Amino acid sequence: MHGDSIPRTETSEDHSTETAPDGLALAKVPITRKVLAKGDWCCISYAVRSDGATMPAKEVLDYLEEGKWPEGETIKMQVDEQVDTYARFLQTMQHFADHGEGDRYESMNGLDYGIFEFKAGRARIAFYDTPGDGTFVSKWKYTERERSDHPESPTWHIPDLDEHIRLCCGWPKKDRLAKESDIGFARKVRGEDNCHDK
Amino acid sequence: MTNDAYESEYARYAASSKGAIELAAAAATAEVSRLFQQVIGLSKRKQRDVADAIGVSESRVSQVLNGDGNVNVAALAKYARAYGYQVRFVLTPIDAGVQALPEVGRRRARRRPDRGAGRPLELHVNTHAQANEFVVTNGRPSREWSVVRPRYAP
Repeated sequence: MHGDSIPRTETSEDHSTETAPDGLALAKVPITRKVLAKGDWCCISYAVRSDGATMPAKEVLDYLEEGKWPEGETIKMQVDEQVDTYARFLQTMQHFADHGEGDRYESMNGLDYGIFEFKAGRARIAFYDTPGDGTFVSKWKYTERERSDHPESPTWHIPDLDEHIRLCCGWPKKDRLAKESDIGFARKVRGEDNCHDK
Repeated sequence: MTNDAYESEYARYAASSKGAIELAAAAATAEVSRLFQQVIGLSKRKQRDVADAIGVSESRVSQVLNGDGNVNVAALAKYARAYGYQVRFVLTPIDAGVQALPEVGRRRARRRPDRGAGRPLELHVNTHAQANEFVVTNGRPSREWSVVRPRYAP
């Protein structure tokens, strides 16, 4: 049992097949996930929406790399800060892929319903973990270091996650707490992405 | 190479010169933050006392220690010292053909003047003098030369 989590297997609504107007079932189109970081511990790739193409998190990171993130501009993130943030995300994520933990406490956080986030500067990238078989178990962050499975880890508050990390979406940090709407969108993307693995 | 030729976005970015530089900055920032987190864990000094010693606000100290604030080299040294630590920088070659830097900080070895022990006697004849002079040098600086005048003069 992971810290404060209640192990249960949640699966999103099954979208694996759709029915054409004449009653024939459409075959699921296999997708190829774009990998952001690969390491000994896990593989971090982009979650894909039900259309098989849209990757909301990749859109954010592509903008950050170029220094042209529209949402970042709403909190006056300058070009240099955006580019710096992109590099920090990649460095943190590769470290996690290699070691199974963040490089420092502030680099990660647990939100709700099994959604976690990578943190870099004033940007956030939400993600979930999955064994890659179309299922996921909602894990929760530890709130007390003594109860963590890894109290010595810089990110002791993050439980052991499955070997596939899927980046769902991103947002600029405007308030102390993440918005419910942002977490809700991450959960929606999770559900759609998970279906591709069924 | 195309983007698809790399196994990951990180690999693609790290292979570019701009990406390598940006990632190096990100890694250094993370390492400093990690070190400060270790310092906080071990130190008994309060952030308020550190803030007073450096001359900044307590919130600024918290910001720096949590890795949220940019800090220059001088400030880094101040924070470390305020917690009782000294900063040392080591540059390690990472690209092929880049030489390791010579060690700095060692004291130069003084070349002490040889007082003649173990060296052959060196005599020079000063032909410019009115009388023949024999100058004993023995490898020493000229101010330490000895002039030897024979008891008899030709």
